Amino acid sequence: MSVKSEALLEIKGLKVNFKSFEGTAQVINGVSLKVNKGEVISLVGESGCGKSVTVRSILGLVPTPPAQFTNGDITFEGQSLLGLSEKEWQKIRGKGISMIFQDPMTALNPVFTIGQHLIDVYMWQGKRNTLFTSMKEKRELRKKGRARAIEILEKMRIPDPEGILERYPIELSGGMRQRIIIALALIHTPKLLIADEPGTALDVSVQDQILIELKRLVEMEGISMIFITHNLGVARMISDRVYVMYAGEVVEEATTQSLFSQSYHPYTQGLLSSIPKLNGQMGDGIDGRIPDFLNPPQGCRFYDRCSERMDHCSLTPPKLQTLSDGRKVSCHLFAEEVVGIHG
Amino acid sequence: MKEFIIKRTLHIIPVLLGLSILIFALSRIMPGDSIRLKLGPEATQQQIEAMEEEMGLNDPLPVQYWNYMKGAFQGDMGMSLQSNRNVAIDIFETFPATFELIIIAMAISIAIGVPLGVISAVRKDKWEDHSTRIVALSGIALPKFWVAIMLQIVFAYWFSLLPVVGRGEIAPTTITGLRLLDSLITLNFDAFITSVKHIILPSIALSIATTAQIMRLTRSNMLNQLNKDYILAARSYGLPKGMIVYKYMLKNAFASTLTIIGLSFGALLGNAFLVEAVFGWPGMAQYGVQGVIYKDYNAIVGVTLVIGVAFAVANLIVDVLYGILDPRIKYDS
Ligand SMILES: Nc1ncnc2c1ncn2[C@@H]1O[C@H](COP(=O)(O)OP(=O)(O)O)[C@@H](O)[C@H]1O
Ligand SMILES: [Mg+2]
Repeated sequence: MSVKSEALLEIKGLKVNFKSFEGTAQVINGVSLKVNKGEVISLVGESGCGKSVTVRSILGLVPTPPAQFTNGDITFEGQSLLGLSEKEWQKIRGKGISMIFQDPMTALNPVFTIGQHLIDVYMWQGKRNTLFTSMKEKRELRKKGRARAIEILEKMRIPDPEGILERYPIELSGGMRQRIIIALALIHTPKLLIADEPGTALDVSVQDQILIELKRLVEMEGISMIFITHNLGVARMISDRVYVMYAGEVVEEATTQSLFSQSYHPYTQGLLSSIPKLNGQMGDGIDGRIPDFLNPPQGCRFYDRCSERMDHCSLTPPKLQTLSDGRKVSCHLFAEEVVGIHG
Repeated sequence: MKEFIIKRTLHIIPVLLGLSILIFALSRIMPGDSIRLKLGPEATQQQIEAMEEEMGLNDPLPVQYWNYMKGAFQGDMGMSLQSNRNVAIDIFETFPATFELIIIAMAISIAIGVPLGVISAVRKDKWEDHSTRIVALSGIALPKFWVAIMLQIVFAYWFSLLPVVGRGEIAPTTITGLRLLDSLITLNFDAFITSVKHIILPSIALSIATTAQIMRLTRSNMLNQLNKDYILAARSYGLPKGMIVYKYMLKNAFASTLTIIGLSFGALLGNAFLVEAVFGWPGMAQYGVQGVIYKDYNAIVGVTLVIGVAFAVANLIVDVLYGILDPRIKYDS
């Protein structure tokens, strides 16, 4: 694919803190990433790395307080998002950018039918007041919404779409619910789709089917996507580029192809080795846990768990830098100058 | 749905049966000699025995219960010692007044409690929230009879806006015994206005505690909704805030509030006698209390049975509504 294409979404130096009684958790610590038009990127990292916070920031869904956006900016189609009012966000949500939630068991409202979900999103996305719409207009919108709901369900190859509309979430399987959640996010054909670990709660085989389906739809409609996963294998299957996140920072960024032919950051290497092997053995994985966001390490956040740590790693945090081969990595192993001093 | 309703309806049969046995047994065990009370201090031993025989008090308890239930199904609940009439007739005359009072009080509680609860949740920790919560707390804490008397003093004596006692002189033709309904059915608007004026203060006095409870519960149920994934998801679809609050959150919150509404029905029945006493409301609750004072067994059993049935039916209705609002209930049972 072309090297520099047009950016649809750009996050620059984002920092997000969470204030609580125990102190300030410095969760997102300078994340930058970019999604080009028509591109699928993956955001990979262990649970608790700040992936959800990062993408929820894009939709203005991180509650402030407790969160504080202390630095950085997010731009979508050149427009800065962080200063938007709730009403302006509302216009973008669901249409410009939409999101697929992680858990199909909790992301659908239990007391509304699937049809009510889909038709409401079709009818009222971006609208302000639902009270002053005339009955006639509502009826027409509802009719169109129903037709569109059926169309999108058919596109997703869901059998008996009309019947599904009358069902309540509890009457559907997890896989079916996950598909409905995808349909909800796609009903207005957004420009950017954020998929936050869809189907992680489901059977592996069901999950695979859904991912294949999702990839097909996104390609068919020309939608860009940020795909979140803790599984590098899934990222490999679905995305053009990969961002590896650790403890609220991007530690490595590469095209999928180059990342899988060679990974640079010790954390990425650890993640790769934790993918289950073909012979059925579990990988080695990485010992230890993510550091406490309330008291993050002074130097590299990965220091405690790193197999190749050096003394100065605990003192100065590395910066994300572009290497001579165009790859980006945030690690002192690749910082010529620093290595030089100690060398 | 039909299946669910039938199942729930069948559930109340054993409840009612148990209730009737329990109440009957309790009433026969209660201390105090109602015959002596009835016949006065001059009564001879023969008179007392004759009266006991006549009322079947010498039969074994199961026989007494059987006879009582047989009679009850034929509209005969035994003689009332207070009125010397069939208890069924007394209840038939007094029940509609209480029922009307309770229904209106319940309507007021829901109409005020739910919106206040929503506002309080949406404006959490703002002045709207604090003030509604203080009012609600007072509503629960203040004694009902005191509230009733204060309402009388303010609205009846000071401002002469509303009548103090009774259901009003102008009565509509009795059809259901619910005067508001009867006057509407017969298009008797004078009677309707009189009835409305008379029921306002007692129903408000009766509703206050329930309103406060419904408000508090709605508030906490709404706040509970705030951290649900599906609410975050609804926001991510770009739905309007008002719609998320009043449709997506409220339907869930109200379904949970419904349970307390069924239970409140019992509390309202229990509190009704205080309000009826203060407002001279000719209802069944007063009749029941009189029954207790006079050891009027038949009246006590009759009234308690009616209250028990009403309570069970109210909860049945609530259960069914709950099932309609929240489909998960049907699958749980
Ligand atoms: N609303 C919140 N309040 C406080 N802390 C939060 C909140 N949301 C997320 N966090 C914290 O941010 C960190 C990253 O969470 P998250 O983005 O959900 O991780 P991931 O999606 O990568 O598993 C966690 O430590 C979590 O405790
Ligand atoms: Mg997450």
